[in-house]
Amino acid sequence: MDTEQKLEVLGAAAKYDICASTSIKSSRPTGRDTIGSHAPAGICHSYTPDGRCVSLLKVLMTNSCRNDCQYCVNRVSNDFERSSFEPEELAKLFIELYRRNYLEGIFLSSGVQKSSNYTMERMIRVAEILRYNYKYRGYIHLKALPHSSPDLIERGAQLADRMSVNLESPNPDRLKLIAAEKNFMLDLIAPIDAIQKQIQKGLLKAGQTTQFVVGAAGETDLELLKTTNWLYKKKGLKRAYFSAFVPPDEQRTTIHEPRVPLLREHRLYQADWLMRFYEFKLEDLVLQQDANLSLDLDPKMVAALKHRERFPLEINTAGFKQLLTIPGVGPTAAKRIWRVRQEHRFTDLNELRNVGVVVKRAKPFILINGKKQGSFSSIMPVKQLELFT
Amino acid sequence: MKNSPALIRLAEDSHLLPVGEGDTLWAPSELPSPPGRGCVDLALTGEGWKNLKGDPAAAEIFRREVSLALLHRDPAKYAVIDRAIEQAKEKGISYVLCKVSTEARKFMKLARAVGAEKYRATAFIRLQPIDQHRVLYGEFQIEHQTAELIMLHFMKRFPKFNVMIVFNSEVFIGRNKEIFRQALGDRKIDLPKAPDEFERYWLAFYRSQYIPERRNIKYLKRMIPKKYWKWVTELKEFGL
Repeated sequence: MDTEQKLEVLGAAAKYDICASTSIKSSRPTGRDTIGSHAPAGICHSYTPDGRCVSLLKVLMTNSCRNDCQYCVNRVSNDFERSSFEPEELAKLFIELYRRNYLEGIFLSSGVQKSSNYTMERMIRVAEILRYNYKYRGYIHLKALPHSSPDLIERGAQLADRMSVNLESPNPDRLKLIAAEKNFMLDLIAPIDAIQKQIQKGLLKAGQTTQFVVGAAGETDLELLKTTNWLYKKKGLKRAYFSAFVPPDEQRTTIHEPRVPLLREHRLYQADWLMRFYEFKLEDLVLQQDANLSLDLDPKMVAALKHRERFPLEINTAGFKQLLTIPGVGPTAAKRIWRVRQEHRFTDLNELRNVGVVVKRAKPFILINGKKQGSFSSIMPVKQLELFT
Repeated sequence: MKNSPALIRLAEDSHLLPVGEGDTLWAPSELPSPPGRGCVDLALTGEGWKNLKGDPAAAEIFRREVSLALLHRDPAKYAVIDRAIEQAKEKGISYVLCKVSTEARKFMKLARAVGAEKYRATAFIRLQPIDQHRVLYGEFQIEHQTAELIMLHFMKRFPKFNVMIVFNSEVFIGRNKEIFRQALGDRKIDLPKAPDEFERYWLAFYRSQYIPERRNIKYLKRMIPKKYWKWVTELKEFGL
């Protein structure tokens, strides 16, 4: 295959890895002979028609893989042409694209060719060429392959800004259903621990992330959120990504789960954000009887309607955590309200709208100087409301 | 570093003005830092954002927002900025930074527009190596006085190269930490005739990233407003 064909094949094979973040607070030192820099908020250089940001050269080192994961198109039992990049070839290709300002960084993952360590060596070689030969100071995200040795993770951490291990499933039982060869603790959690050690040493400034394939193993949202919460608390995870399962080739996989609605993925992100930025605990989330999030309403609205007795809240005196429970008030608006209140008393909805509150959603849940602003029936009919009691 | 022939031709032209000596507002070292998010920026100082009074960060952020608003093309900006300063004195900096009043919103909107233009330029300008790869050349249309901010971004990112970008009808050249500018007039930059193989590679990669099951053109349009589509030429790969 020539370079163009390799890019098409190995790019397409990596596109379901969702992470596109290049945001990082601290920069690597630059000099007159270096190339590249970090942008604190990250930069998206393009978007595909699916609305996803293209900021990273997201490719696989190789799509050869000895594993037979049922959710993955690159599994060994799938019969198609395999291809690989040579480290020098990929490094040069990336630098040339970076120089033309098409990209903000590189995201390198791979199928497991020969062994995890063999493949990781090759991935690390790409990062070494970039850092040492080209003196590249921009963003590098390296995947740690299942069962990678701690030594290789340590070497990767010296070079990369972010490393990640894809868990794919929330627990060992679910993983067995879709990737029988993988051991949840030894192959996946152990590398996460090894990455965490490097972060604790001050490396990998963009932290570590993981990704779940939502719906491939028939897991519930509760299982996914429990594991995510555990990873945030115990493993110092920066964030989790959720990717709704798209059967790669329905005829030949053993997975017979139905196609997952994208809305489920969206609700999981909303719940995840509540835990990360809204000071919600896992137990604050309200799930349906089937242990899944409601698809009809967002999880914050569901929690607020379930606990209507806690509202309305006086916007001029509510605590910061209370502000975050009001539908239509995000962390940014809550911070603004908090700050402004130190010097000014809010008097009307317009002022709240100006600071970023989604007034239509927030109205039934707030008082302004003791005055009610709306009723719950403006959100939904009373009969439906009763479902939340 | 040896300067390229194209740069020498332009640099030797007596009309080139170092930025700061012409009609721009700042020397490069004094240019405002990239835009933040107003009052929420204070969250960067840990729990500090909860205590505004006497917080020096608030004054610094306000100064930065004023600097950005001053780069806006609208001549009415001075009146808007004046009113924002008055309100900051009267009701506190957070009142303005957090956009409580309509006037404060207008002021912050000016700063945001400038910041957004700078961001999009750094994202969507495509650079082309010319003159034996010693110069990175690009073109972009700007509405505000953001050229220097944009040049600084690329000069920091590519210190080994001379950066040459045509903004509207002016060429800006960044080299040795200085920025020069000149009206382009009738002159044209000599660009290589041969197609760039890396552009082909980029398009191949770009095409590979699309997931048809997730098609969402509405979101794409939100992320890349129509006026920038002419610079993001890869969109044509999907007939957009």
